[in-house]
Amino acid sequence: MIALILYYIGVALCFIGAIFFILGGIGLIRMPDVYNRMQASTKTTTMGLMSIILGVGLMEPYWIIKAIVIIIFIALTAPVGASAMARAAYKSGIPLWEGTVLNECDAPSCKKEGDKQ
Amino acid sequence: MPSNSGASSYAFVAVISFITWIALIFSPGMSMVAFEQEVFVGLLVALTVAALTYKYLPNASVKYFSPKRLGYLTVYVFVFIWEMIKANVNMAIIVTSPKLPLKPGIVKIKTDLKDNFAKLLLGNSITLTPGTMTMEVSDDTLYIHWVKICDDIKEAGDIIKGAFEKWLKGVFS
Repeated sequence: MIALILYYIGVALCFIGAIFFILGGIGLIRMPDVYNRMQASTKTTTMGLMSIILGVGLMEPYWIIKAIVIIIFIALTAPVGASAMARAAYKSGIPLWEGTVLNECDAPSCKKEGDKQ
Repeated sequence: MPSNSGASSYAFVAVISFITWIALIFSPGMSMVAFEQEVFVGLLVALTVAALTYKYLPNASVKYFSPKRLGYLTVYVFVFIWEMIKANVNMAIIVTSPKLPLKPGIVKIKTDLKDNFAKLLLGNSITLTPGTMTMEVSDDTLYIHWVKICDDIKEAGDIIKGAFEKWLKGVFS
């Protein structure tokens, strides 16, 4: 009985994860520039992936501990990748969207390549 | 905090490696003999890995295993999960609303955290919380891309860092 309930919770989590993936894809198409796209895609895919892996862990209780370890690794690494890509985009001079309100980025390490002289 | 001894960071890395090994290997209902063998090999691997890597992690220390710090870490994890769910609902609303309500910008905020790993965790948390993404960290300043910027920039730091900084301070002080 408990196994069956866990199974259905797992199915529900996989479904939620899939919905977040779809939303991430829509965000990727609709957002106006690289940085906003990065926001839409990293948040939703990280959450979707965690949700799906946890769902699989609940459907097959033998894997639950491994699933949790994988979730921890994803939580530690996915945002680092996103930050690195955003920083690389900024450094290589990809412009911000024209609706951008404020730009306070003045660190020596995030100067654009062309600005050096 | 470079005043640590090497032994302390060696012990920290070894314990973390060993816990990770056990978590990846353990499955309910495995035989006792198999489990003992795995624990033995796990000990060897953890000690070897720690011997090879402890000198690259000078800030690691066994003091992080104290119950008070682990308590703070637990609270931090729950705060983080809650914030992450909020972030995703928020992002879903922005993405599906017909007139993209965007007002993006890059803001600069200060943090009081000193430890590098604490700053990494703060940056990660900010990336996964509503509408914000860490772009660059230098010393005590974080540069953050924000999808929907607030009206008063002076409050930006408090809104973005939210409760994270308080709990991380507890873990890493």
